[in-house]
Amino acid sequence: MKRILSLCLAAMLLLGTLVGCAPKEVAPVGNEADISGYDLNDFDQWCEAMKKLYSGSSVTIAAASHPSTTAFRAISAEFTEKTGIEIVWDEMQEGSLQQKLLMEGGASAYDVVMTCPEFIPSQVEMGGLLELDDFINDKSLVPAWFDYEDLMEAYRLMLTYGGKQYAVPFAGETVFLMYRADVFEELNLTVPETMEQMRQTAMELKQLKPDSAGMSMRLQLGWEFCYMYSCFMFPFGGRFMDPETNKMDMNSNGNRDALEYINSLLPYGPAGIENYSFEEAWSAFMSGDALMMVEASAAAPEIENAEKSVAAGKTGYAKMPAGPAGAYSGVWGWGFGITSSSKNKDAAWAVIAYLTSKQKQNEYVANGGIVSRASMLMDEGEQAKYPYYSAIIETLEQAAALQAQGYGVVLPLPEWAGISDVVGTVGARALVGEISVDEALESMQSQTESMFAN
Amino acid sequence: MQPTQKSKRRFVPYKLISPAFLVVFTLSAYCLFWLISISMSSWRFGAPIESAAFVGLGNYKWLLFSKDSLFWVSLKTTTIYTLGTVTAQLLLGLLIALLFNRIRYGRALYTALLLIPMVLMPSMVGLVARMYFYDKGLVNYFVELIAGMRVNWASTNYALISAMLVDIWEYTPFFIVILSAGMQALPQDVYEAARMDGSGGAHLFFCITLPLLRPLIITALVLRLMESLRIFDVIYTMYAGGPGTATTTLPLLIYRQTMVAHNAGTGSAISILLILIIFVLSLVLMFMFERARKTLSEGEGQ
Repeated sequence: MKRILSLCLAAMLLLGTLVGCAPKEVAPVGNEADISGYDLNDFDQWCEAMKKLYSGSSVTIAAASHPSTTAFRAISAEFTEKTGIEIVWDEMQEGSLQQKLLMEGGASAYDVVMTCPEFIPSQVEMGGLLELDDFINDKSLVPAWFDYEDLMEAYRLMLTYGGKQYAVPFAGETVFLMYRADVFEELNLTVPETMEQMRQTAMELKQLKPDSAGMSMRLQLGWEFCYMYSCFMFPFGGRFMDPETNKMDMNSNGNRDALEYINSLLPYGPAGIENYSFEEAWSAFMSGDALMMVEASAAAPEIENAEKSVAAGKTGYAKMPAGPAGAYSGVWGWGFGITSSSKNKDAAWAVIAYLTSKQKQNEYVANGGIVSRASMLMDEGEQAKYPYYSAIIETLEQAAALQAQGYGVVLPLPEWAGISDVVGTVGARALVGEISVDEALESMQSQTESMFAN
Repeated sequence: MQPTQKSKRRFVPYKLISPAFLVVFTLSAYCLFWLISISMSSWRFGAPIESAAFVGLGNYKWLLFSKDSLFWVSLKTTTIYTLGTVTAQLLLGLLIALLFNRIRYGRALYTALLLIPMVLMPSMVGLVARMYFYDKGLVNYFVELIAGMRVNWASTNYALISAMLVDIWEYTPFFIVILSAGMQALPQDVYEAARMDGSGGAHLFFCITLPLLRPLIITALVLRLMESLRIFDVIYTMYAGGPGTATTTLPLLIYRQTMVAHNAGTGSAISILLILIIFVLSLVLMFMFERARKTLSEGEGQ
């Protein structure tokens, strides 16, 4: 056993020198042998070992203001106490984070950055992010209590670029259907399983409960419209791009059907839905103004918060209804990546492993973090406590089915910001009738094509 | 001796303002140079600057002539917004300033109260206004009391109007304060003379107050027009440019192109066009100002 361990350690150190990084600088050579006596699969011993190796070093994290960040900050004091590695949090708004990372390029002052599917391509192209596969494939760096494989596959896949892993997911969301189970029972309605049924149900809800709306979702111009549109596009057989030829394909019949379908839901939405951001969409449902909602699963904890929501305890959750081309949904979320300019790469990995580990999962979720592990989502006790867990699993399967075909609601391209803005702006214009659906599709196609002209 | 000293003196003011002028000019000139060069290139914000390709006037051509470009739509929205708000502010400001001048006691208190909207942070004003204009918000509560129906303020027809109402609320005090200060400084003997000649009321206002205030009105207009053309915070926090593109004014379009879509080239080109618009407009207004001042001083001379 010891021999295997020391072999692993030797491999790790070799790796460390190969990527030209930390152990040499933070841990003098004399320390190398010291941790061979520790069983790294034992959580406490791992902490001791890390203390030996990296005590006194500090890891700076660039983070967006997010419930996960708050949760991580709550549990990071204990980490510092146990390992002697200091964590410096630099928390900022999501928009500022992206701009900062873009401007820093390949010379980041941070060790760890919070990143998401649309940041990664640009970061990688600029040489700002470290490929994590070497860490992940090294058994000594992925101890049993970390359990990397337990992180939902759809979440892990969304943080890859060119087949390589660039971040470890810790918060994910998917888009599913939320409905007022009490109203459905009262009106004797069934949970829609197809898009057509969903439109029908929205219409009936609006007719039978004229004071409320039948459907809520985010439709504001820009990325919000684009996100929602992409969740409807695949079930109708549309797509952004042909994954084989890498040619834009925004003008197909499937895309047209999806756009027309979203437009046809508008009369059943609350007044002003055409400019709803996700906050307004959620609050419409939480205040009882809307009786169905297609939105991100991140809304579920808010909905179940009885202090904020009249729908708490009365909401049913279901996977995305199927369209003519199948049932698909999107997946999106945050992960931790290591910057290629970090001087503490190994200590940074230790921080990531600790914070996102299975060992710390319960504490993280209890502090407001977002569940992202299969073990917790599938746990029957947890499922009884959180009624949306099983719907999340089912919807993530829909999302994984989409990923398996090479599609996703975010295109892994550095040009994605521009594409998403074009789709979200032109689509929102068609929604309010500034231009026709056909004009919108044509405009999306020609504008995105021209981005790749040179 | 004397003439040289005099000519030496003539340069003193120029020498004195030269440091300030140099700082302002070099800073803005440097930025402007960069802006112009980026506006002539195709550069994705975030990619290394070396990857920017020179495209000449391509961005401008696309903005002005492509049917996909939102420039003209946005310019129309900006024009409606600016003309609507500034005209309403000027008229309301004049009216209230006239009333204001009749207040005998506690004018300082009223002035302080009037300034409150201008002191507030515009983005906060936008966030609060967004809630006031919700379907079941405060504004609709009163609208329903009076008209018996609610208005969908977030719809294409009303979003711009509600943003304009907020702007008018926020910046009318600017005109009130400036114009009432101006009215107090007007020479009283002119009024007395006119009254002795038998004129009064509206005649006094249109023939004396308004012409005498003209330079002041134009200055205030220049300041407000420039600010209004650059309006961002209130609209962005209220509607973020939507629904559709109903409230996408030029500054919002610049922001979306540059910071959201990462098309730094197109974004910079719109900036340059906006700078040109503001520059030409200010020139016209300053020309009017000079003329108004000249007529006034000529009148005084007689």
